[in-house]
Amino acid sequence: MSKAKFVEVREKWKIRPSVLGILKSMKAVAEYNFHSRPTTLYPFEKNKLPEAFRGLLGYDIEKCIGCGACVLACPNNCLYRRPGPKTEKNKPGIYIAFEPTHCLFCGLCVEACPPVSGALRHTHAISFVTTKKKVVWEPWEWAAMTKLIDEMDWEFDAIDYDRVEHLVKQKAEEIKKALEENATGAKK
Amino acid sequence: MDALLLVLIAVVSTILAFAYGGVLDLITIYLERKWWGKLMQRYGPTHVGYAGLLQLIADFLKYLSKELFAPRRAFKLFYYAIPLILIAVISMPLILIPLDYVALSGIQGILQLLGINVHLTKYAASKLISQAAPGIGLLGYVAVVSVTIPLMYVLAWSQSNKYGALGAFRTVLLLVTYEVPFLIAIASVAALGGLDFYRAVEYQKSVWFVILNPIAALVLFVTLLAESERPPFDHPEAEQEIVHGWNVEYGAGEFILLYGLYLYTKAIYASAIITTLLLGGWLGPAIPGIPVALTNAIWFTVKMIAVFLLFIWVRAALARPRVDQILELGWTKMLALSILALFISLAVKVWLV
Repeated sequence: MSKAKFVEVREKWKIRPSVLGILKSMKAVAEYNFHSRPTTLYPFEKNKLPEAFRGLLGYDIEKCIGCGACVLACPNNCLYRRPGPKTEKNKPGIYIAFEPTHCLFCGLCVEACPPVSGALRHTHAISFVTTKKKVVWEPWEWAAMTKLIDEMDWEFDAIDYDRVEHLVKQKAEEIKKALEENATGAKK
Repeated sequence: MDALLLVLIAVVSTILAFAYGGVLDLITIYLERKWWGKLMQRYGPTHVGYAGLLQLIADFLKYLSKELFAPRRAFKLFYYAIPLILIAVISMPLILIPLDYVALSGIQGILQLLGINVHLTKYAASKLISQAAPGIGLLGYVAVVSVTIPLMYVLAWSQSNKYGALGAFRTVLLLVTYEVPFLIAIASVAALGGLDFYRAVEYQKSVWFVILNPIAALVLFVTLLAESERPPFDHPEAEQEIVHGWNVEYGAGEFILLYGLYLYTKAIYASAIITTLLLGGWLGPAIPGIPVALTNAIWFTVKMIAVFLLFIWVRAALARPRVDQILELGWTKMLALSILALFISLAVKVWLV
C-alpha cells in the first residue's frame, strides 16, 4: 500500500525535460501564491494553540459552587478546600486553593468540575518559574493569577512569578473584597 | 552657450538614468526576496522598516562596514581594479537603452501636472545619441556585454582560486554559447523594427512585436536570462557547488559592486530590452487626467517590473541543469529557434509591406 503511494508521488513529480514539464513546474510554483505559510513570525505573532492544550490551571472564583469534586479528582493532592464568604452561587462557602509547584498538568480536575460550575479550565500560559520551593495560592490569589494571565496575554511564556507576585496579591485583595460584598450574609 | 547647455542637460539626464536604474534595482531586489520567499513558503525580509522595505539598505550598510582584504596570492592590482572597471563598463548602457528618456519623461509629466510646460525629453542623452548615430543603442549594448566576458575571466584569474576559475570557465562558456542565438534574435527583431530603440518603439504603435514574432521573444527571453546569469542559468555562480564562482573571494563593498550592482543591473537591462523591443516600450493606453509623458514613464516601469517578475517566477520554478545540458540547449535548440525566428520576421516584414 505504502509502496503504491510512493510510486504515485514519483509519477506526479516526475521531471519532464520538455516545454510541458517547464510549464507544469511553473504552474506548481504559482500555486504557492495562494497557500498560507506553515510557519509564523513567533515572537511578533502568536501561534494558534491546539484545542486540547493543557496549560496552567485557571480558576474562575465567581463560578465555583464549592462542591469539592476537583479536590477528590486530583492525583497529586495539590488542591485544598478553604472556607470563604457564602454567596448565591457558592452556598457552602467553600473555595479551592491551589499548589502550582506540585501540579501535574493532567487536567483531571477540569474534567471533574461539574458543568453547572465550569470554574476550572486550562489557560494559555505554559507554566511559571519561581525561586520559592513551595507556592500555595489561596482561592482569591489563584483567581487573580488567572485574570492576570487573560489580561496580560501571557501566552507560551513561563511566567516569572517572583516579578508578578505583588500584582497577584494586589488583585487578590480586590477579588476578596468583591466576594465579601456579594456574600449572602452581608446583603441581608 | 547652446552647446554648453546641451552638454549640461545630457549630463543631468545621465545622472537621472542612474537614479532611475538604482531605484529599479532596489524595487526589484526587494520584490525578488519577498515574492521568491512567498513561493518557497518563507517570509523574506520582515523586520527592518515596514514589511522589510529597508532591509536592503541595512544589508548595504553592513557590507560597507566590513573590511576589504585580498587573498595572499591574489594579483592585487587586477583584484581591486577590475570590479570598478566592470561597473564602469556595465553602466554605459544606461544611456544607450532609453532609461534616461523614461526618467525625463516622468519628470516632465509631473511638471505638467503642476502646470509647468517644458519639453525635457528631447534632451535625453540616449535620444541625442540615437539621432547622431542611429542604431548605436542596440549594437552598443551588445558590444558592451561582450566586453564583460574577458573582464570577468581576468577577474576570476586574479583571485587565484580554483572555484573562481571554474566559475570563469562557465561564464565564458555560457556567454559565448548564448551570444550567438541572442544576436540572431536581436537581428530578427531588428528586421521588424530597425536597430534603433526609438524607432522600434514607434513601429509597435499598432501591434507589439511579441505578437508578431513570439519565437523571437522566447529566444530573446531565454538568452537574456542566460546573459544576466539568473537562475536556471546561474552556473557561473552556482552557490551550492562552486560557492559564488567567479566572485568567490570578494567580500564587503566589492561584493556589492559585483553581485548587487553588476548582476542586477544586467538583469534590469535584460528586462528593459525585452520591454522596448517586444512589449511596446513606453506605449500604453492613456490614463485620463494624467499627461502622456507621465503615462509613458508609468507604463515602461510597470512593464519592466512585470518582466522581472517573470524572471523571479522562472527562478523559483526551475532547477539548474547540468552544464552540458545547458550548452546543448544553447547550441542546438536555441540556435535553431533563433534562425526560425529570423525567417518568420523576414516573412512578416515582406507580407506586411
